Amino acid sequence: MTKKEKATMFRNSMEVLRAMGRRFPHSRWQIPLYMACCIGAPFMTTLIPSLAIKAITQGETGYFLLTITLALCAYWGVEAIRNLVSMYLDKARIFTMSDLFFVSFINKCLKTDYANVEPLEKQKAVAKAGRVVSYGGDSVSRVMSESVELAIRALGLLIYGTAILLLDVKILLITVVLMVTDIFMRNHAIKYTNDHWEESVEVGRKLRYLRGNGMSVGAGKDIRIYQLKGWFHERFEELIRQETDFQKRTQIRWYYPTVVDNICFFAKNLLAYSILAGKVLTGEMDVAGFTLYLGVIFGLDVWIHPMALSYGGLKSATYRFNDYRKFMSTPDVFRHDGGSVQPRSMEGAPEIAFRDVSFCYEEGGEQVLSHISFVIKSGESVALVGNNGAGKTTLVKLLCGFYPATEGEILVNGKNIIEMDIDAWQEEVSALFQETVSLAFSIAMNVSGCSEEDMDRQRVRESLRRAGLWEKVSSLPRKEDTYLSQQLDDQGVWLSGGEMQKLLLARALYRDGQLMILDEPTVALDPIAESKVYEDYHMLTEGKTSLFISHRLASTRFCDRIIFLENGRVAETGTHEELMKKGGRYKEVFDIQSKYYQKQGEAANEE
Amino acid sequence: MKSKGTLGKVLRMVETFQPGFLALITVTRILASGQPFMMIYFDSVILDMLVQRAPLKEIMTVVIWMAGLSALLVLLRWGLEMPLVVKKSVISLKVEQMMCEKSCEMDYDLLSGSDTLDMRQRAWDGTYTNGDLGDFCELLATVIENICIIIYSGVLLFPLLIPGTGTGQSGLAGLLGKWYSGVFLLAAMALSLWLNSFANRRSAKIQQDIFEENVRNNRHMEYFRNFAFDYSHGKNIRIYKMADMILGAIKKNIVVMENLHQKMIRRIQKVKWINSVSALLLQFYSYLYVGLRAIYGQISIGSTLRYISAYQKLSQSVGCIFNMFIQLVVKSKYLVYFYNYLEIPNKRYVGTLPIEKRNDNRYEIEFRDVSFCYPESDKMVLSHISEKFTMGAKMAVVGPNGSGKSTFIKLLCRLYEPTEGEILLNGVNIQYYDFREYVKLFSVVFQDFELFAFSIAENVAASWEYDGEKVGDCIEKAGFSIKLRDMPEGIRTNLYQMEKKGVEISGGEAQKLAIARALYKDAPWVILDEPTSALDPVAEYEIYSRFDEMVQDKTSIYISHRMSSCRFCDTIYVFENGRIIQKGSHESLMKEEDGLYGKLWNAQAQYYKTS
Repeated sequence: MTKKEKATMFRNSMEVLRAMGRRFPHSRWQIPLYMACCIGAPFMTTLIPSLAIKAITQGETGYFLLTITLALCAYWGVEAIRNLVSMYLDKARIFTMSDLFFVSFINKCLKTDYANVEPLEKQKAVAKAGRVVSYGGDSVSRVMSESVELAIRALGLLIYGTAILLLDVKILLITVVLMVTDIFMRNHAIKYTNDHWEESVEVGRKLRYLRGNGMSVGAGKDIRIYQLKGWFHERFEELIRQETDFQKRTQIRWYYPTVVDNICFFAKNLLAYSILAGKVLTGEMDVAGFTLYLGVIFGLDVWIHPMALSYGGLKSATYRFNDYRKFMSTPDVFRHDGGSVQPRSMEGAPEIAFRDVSFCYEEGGEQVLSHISFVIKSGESVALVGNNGAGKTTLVKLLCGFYPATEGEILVNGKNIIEMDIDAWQEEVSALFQETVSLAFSIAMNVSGCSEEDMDRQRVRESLRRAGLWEKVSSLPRKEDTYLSQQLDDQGVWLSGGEMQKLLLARALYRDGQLMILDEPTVALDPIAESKVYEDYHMLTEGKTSLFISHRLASTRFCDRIIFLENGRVAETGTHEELMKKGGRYKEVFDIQSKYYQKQGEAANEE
Repeated sequence: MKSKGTLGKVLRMVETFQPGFLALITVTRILASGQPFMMIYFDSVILDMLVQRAPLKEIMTVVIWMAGLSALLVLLRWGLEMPLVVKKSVISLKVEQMMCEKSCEMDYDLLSGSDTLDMRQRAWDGTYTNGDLGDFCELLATVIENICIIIYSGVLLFPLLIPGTGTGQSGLAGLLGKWYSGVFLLAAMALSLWLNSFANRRSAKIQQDIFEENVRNNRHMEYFRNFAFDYSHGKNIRIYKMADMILGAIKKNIVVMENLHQKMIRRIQKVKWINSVSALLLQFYSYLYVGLRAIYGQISIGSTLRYISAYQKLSQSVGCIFNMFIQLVVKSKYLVYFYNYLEIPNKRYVGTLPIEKRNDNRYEIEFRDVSFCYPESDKMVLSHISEKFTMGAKMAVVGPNGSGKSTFIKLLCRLYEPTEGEILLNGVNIQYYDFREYVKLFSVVFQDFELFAFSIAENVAASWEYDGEKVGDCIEKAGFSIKLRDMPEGIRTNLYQMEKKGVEISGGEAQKLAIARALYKDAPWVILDEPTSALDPVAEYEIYSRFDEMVQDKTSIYISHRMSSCRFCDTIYVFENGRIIQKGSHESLMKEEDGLYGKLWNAQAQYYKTS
């Protein structure tokens, strides 16, 4: 093991244990106590028979009774303490992992730059880090337990080893040989498992996917209509084949150490017995001593194999911990705390400017936006239109501070958003994105984004009213405190698509940001509700700068200006009338969409 | 007894999954338990030989035998453990497979009901925290191991019952010398066992109670855990600063769970010490009995350790078996949830009629006074719908949100069954048809459709095998071919992230593939629920203009908020509050002055008036 690896193991173990010590101060003395019991108890188990034999050989009943009474009481006292302390340590392990590491992990996932969690590569990093804070396998919890176990076994080994050394060097030598070959062989198996760790992760991931989709209510309709059960079956069969193959290969590699172990063990048996028997026969040692030393020699084995296991276990667990640490220290491109400009003090609607902005998701990848430049004046409402894949959503992501521009600058009131406190900037934005998902918390919590203690209830109700959802909400038994879906509350309710959209609108209204972004907000609404949104649009965006993104060109009638994107570039800008007069792409697309809405005669004329 | 029934079921099921698993476990356990006994026996022989000052050579012969046999047994045992581990991992996967496949098959209304969700959660919680089938079988195997141990120890202890050389002694020694003195051993063991089982039963109950209380907390934690892996919430969480709210909820949950855990520890503490005391008493008594007999010369010194070890193992095993039994009962309770889930009956398959094959696609469907409310609510979502649907017609369904349009489709596809009234296919109530047959009649694109992480071709064909040309053709019709040209692997490209080199596609692109899937199935009824909501005007127009070509002589239903789609449909049905309030062609409905249709139309058309 290289020095660096040793450092990693030690450093990670200490970090984790120190965390446990902070959260559960009692563990600072509980761990040493536990260790003492764990080392002492097996030793007593070895000692007691030998004491008994000695007393029996001497033949005195009284002495015999005294000896075993004391010895047994001591032993079981130690065991009882160990059981008790181990329960407390279990709890400390579990809850240090949950309360410290898991919470920090989720905190990072939710607050770091969006660019650190959405792209595929980043998702994989998140998944790897997530495994470390979940139960089972190479988790933080395992680091805690294995490091303690390793220390116990190392100490036990030391004590027993010294005892054997005092007895006879030869036995110790062969024990050391045994230990070294064991570790060496096992290392090979551990290395193989680590190298192919990705494979087992794969299986887990596919399994999660299959299980999640096969059993989801959402996918259930399609599964039935298209009779997809067969496909899931095939996939499972394949997964099982993969797993079987992987396990077979791994298990064989673990058998080799066992074989070698046994050969060494055989030799050790012969050696130990012959030496000890020799000493008894020459009178150097009595029968009680024979029993004791036999116990110590074979007691040593109880430490060796588990120690190799602990060592291997700790090594892989601390390695995985690096994944966690790596994710947690992923830097943010945006500033999240006290940037140079605090736009919270923003008065009035902001002016937005894109100056020669280009963007691609990956280095050297396809340019999704190319040399985009435009200005949205303060209080102006702009419609951003264009076909799918033109870059509208990406543009919004850049504006919101989710991704940094690859080239160019994005300016709010003249200041580059890279230099701002991005959290403060985001608080100025009210956005309705395409993903119409809500959280399984209460309606009020979804609208306000706060827990019950911090929310402004009046404002929540007002927002629901303005969004047109209050009628529905007040009809519910717990009104705005009703939970959505039944994930967190059995009494939760489900909202229809249209109601959901109104909920999200209410949230945007609650925030009342100076910049309003509406991304396809009318997709799930019926024509009358849709029309109401357009009518309310003015009310909603009065005095604010707003960006309205939609395929439905009807919406553009309400905006001051239109920006038409095509293939990542600004193709045309202007008012609706100007663009229609221009007769370019915008007019083309507008005509296609309005075709069916013309009266019968007009439609025939257009053919 | 209920748990016994489960026992049989589990064993049978395991044998089906992995034949030989049970036998392998048994053999490995027999070997594993035998090896220590062999060592104990040889050890006592050697000790006696030493006491008697036997020559070294003889002693070493015995040692060689012992070491050799031991090594052999160990190698054999671990050799057999290998296939065992492989089989165990397969069993875990098989369990998941069965749950998943059951969910695919189950009646849809049951799948989404909170009862089922709950049952499924309990089954998962149970197998997750209490071990799955494989663990259950290991438990059983441990019982076998313990039985072997009891037999082995009995054999070793037997000489104690033979009247020893101390028959001439008096007093305590004399008493110990009698053959029935062994009875005291048994009495001590019985006492210790009783104490142990009392303590164990108590702590098992405590653990189970806490587990029950924790089920909900665990479910919540699972939900919270998903925030890490599901980035779709990410944008909203950042804009609306919802992170602290979520973290607050997580922390509260953890506090609850920690308190529960602490409670459990405190309660178990009160009971655990009993185990230690009983073990102490047992060991004390065994040393006393055997030691005294040795001191009085009734048994050899070498054999003392043998008897003590054997006695210890015997009482441990007997105690273990009781404990195992308790655990078996507890574990089987959780496995019962699993079985309950798998045994949820399917009503939909009860019908056995096959659908007659027709080349003319003339399948007439009629709704007779159909009303419907969802299983857990009283609100009537559909109300007295009576309609006969003309075959080969292109129908549009419009109406405000919540008017029952999507529910109507779900009933048509037999995902739910009417609360009142009946639905007939060619005059026969659809309940009499086999569900799988019935469903073949429909190609559907749902509003919330899903595509899966397999290749594009497999998604479109909804199967492992596909006709490449037909797939290409459907993709062309749905307007996806331009995007397809950008994909180097063509229709074999994998979607999403389950396989390597999976690609992500946008909502609009997915919608086109869903349409392609519906086309591929080529069923006599085509139902499209908001199929162009994510498409841009040009793509939407393509779908509209190809609609005739796509649908040809099939019966089609087009649900949309895009009123423009009504122009290419023959009949339009207007829904409001679960009823069909208007029906007719676009022209005839526009003539109805106060009709809802007119309002809906104008609400949208007004923005497209070319001024």
